[in-house]
Amino acid sequence: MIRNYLKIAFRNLLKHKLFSFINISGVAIGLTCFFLLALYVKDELSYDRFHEKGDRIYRLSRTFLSMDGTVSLRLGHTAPPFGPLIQQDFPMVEQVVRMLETGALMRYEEKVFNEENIFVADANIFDVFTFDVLAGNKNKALENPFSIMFSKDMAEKYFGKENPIGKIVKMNNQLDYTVTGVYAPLPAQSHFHPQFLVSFSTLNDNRVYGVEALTNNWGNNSFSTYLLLPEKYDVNTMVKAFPDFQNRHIEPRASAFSVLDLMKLTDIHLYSHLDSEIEANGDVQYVYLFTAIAFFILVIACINYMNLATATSATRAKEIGMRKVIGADRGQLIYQFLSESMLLVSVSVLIAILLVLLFIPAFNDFTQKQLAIDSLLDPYFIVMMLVIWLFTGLVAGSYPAFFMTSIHPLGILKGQIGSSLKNGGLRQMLVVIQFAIAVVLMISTAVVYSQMKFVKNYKLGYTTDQIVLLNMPDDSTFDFESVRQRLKQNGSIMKVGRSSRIPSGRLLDSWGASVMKGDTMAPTDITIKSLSVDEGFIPTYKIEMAAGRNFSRNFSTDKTNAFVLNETAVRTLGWKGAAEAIGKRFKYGEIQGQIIGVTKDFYFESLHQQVAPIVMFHQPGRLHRVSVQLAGSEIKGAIAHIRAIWEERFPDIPFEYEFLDQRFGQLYAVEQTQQTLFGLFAGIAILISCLGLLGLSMFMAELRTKEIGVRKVLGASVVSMVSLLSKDYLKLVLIAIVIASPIAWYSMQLWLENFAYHTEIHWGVFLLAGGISIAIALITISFQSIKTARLSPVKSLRSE
Amino acid sequence: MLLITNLQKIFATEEVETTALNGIDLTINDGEFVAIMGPSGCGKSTLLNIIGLLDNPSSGSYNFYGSDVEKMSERQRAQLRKGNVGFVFQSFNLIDELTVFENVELPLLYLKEPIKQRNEMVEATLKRMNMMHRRNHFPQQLSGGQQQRVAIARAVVAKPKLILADEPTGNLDSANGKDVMNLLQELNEEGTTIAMVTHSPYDASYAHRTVNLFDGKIVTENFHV
Repeated sequence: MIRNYLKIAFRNLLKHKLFSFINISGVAIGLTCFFLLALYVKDELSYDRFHEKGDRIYRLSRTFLSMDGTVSLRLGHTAPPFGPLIQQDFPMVEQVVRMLETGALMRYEEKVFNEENIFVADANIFDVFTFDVLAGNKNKALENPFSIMFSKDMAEKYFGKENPIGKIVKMNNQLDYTVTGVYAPLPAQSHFHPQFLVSFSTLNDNRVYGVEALTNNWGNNSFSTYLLLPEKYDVNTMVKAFPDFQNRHIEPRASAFSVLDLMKLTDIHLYSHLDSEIEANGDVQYVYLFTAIAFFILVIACINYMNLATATSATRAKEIGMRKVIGADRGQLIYQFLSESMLLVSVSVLIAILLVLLFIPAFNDFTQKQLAIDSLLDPYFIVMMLVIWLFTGLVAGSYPAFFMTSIHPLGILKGQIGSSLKNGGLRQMLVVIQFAIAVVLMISTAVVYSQMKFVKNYKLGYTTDQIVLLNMPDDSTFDFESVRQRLKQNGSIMKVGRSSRIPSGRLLDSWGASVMKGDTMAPTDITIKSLSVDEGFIPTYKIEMAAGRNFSRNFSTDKTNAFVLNETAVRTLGWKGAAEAIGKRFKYGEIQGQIIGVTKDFYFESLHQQVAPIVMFHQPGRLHRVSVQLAGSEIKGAIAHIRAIWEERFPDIPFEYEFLDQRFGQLYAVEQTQQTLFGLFAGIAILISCLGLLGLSMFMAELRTKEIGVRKVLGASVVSMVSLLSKDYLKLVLIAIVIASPIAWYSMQLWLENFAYHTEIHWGVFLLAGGISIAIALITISFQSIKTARLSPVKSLRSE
Repeated sequence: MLLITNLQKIFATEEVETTALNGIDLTINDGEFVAIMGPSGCGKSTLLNIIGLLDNPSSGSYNFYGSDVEKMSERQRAQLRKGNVGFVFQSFNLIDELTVFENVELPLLYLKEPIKQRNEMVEATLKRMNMMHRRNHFPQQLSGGQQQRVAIARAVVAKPKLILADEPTGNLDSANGKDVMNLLQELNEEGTTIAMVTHSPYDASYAHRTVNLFDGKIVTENFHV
């Protein structure tokens, strides 16, 4: 029997080639999107799950509170003494691992590279995290000071085919390290990717860090600390004991400004968005968003199939009637139609898998993922595909199956089915749902786009054009002034400025500030972020002064006792205007001095953050970021000039540079990706919906041939016929727009709240999305309705 | 034996009630060949549909080979119909997407006959209808007469007790029409009960008895010898 069903299904597919094409391609496109998004979501959900003890590993994080109790800084890193003290005070803790990320100039014989992702790690790292150690003894490799392990990639980069074990490498041209092992790089789905592991005992050496600092330095929060806890341990009991723990060890009231917390390892990638993280994490919001979009598109494709299948069922009516007369019962017919849709979905699944294989590279490129084709063979994924195959087949086939088989055989044989099909309420509703989804996606795209435009055009208060960034060594080792003079010899190099941090980065450092209250200096409870600059920084970025002056070499005290604030800092400190702040005494950390200038506010961080109060001052040894402002078109010449000076001054350090506007692009990379994704999926949703509309309007025109013939005989014009045939669908699209607009408005309002500075949703957006969907729908429908309306009435009447 | 007593069929729409059949009493004996005649709209086809268990009467009783069917649900009627009743229509009603062989095979599929018997029965029937050489053709590739022969093959393949024919020659020329009538007569002679709606007195002459219907009532019954 199933063979009979499939045979007839297959022959029907061939007979109605256009409908089959519309159906299969619609479902295939829907499934392709679904599978790609499913791969993406699965990848996001699989972070850090490869660690065998992953569900027992917790990361320690530290939050700093301002005096008023508000959160000032949330760090995924903590100070080095925490780890051992936790192990000592909490006996249930099985293991503690600390890691310190760093970068260095790595040298082996002639090979020299600037390396990031060097992790100084406790020797027991392999007892907690799952590494595949390829060479060396994993129990001993990180025991002795100055031991280093290479990832397989790095081992090949430095040693080629030679055996790495026992080789000596030099870091920062100073200290020698012995290679004690090689391990396989961690998979992409890890929240950290060490390329090198250095033994933690190295830090005991005073040339590197020092035992003293390791046990006392509560302020250096750059160590990642992980705890291995027993199974089914309730971490809340430990978190509740942390305030006392801190008060015991740091100082009596430490818990008033420092809060410790724990997060499960496997939650870090999706749920941790602290001010410091080892790598940029994902966001569970996108997982939800993409899952929703994937289902939406699949639903649109299923609706297409349902609509077309019911519409075309008129041609199948005779068959159904006859089968009933012969003795088929309803169950058998439902079974037949479901197996038919399963067949079609199977074809679509196959096509979708091919499309997925085809598009994976582009999708990877675009989402910055490394989704592998073989993950399609993952048992979970196969099960999911089977479930989706069944789901799609059943959903798509359910309506035609139940609708068609409910009709009385006599009615069908007498041709009554046509009239009952013309006004299918459910079908109209389905079209409305389809278009509503498409319109929501379209409006979202438009809002994301206008926000990105808003961001790009936002007056940041400084220039981002033609600024080249360099990373120079500590200026205590050389005379920067001579370098500046050499740089300026090139005509394209306008200004050179130095700072501790650069725009587009985060401002993470802050000390306590004090101002005059009455006759004494009183500490304020306001967090003011610090930015170390030299006198070249403000002019290089063309930051405008609101009052006072920039730092100057003409005043010798500018290097030691002068501060420049931004307007926000002035305001939060309680002064009425920029001018009032000039000349006021100010203390920041241990530095006492005078406020010599106030700048207008500038958006140093991304527009996700509010402008923070900032204090600028000269702090030797911290000015390692150099910004060079270029002018004109001789960029290449200027870069070559910089390189020449660099290679002369720092022959041991590879020359590297970047442009500020590129960094700027990265700030909004997530949103940029979202914009494209939204646009893409909105386009696909519209495309599939229109495919469905096309098929439906073709079919309705066919059903109404007789009516059209009669109307024409009675003298109706082509124009009136086209509007007659289009009107019903336009009504549906209009309803869809009305339903979609508030939903889109609400959800995009939520999205915009991610930005401290954002555009308003303009009513034009709704008009635009509505207009586009109406226009597209109209074109789709008129494609068929014009054809039908122009048909000779003789022909259309005869066909009945 | 089919036993119909005081049968009524009323079609009701929201505004109008039409009485299609009004107080029909009719008995059809096993092995009989009955023709039902009458002008358009007199209720012939409605009567045939009720006899063939496709439709329920509004009132009255109908005993179908010993079962009272007038109160049965559609599902029960379908169950009873399966294998017991064969239908032949004026417009053939073959399924276009199935071949000759597959069309004829369909009733056996619903009867869940095993494949070997199925093939034997279909082949025997097709041979008998002289359609074996066309077994892999699709209905559209056949002439009207051939299509009706396939339709008859489909009606008889499961060896039903009763064949209902609704103007079986209506769409055929006279030569093909005669051919179809001869086939029906042969089947009847082998013991199949036949009830046939027709406009043609010539076709009716094949029957043992003609029932004349007018405005939903039986007006005369003629017995042929």
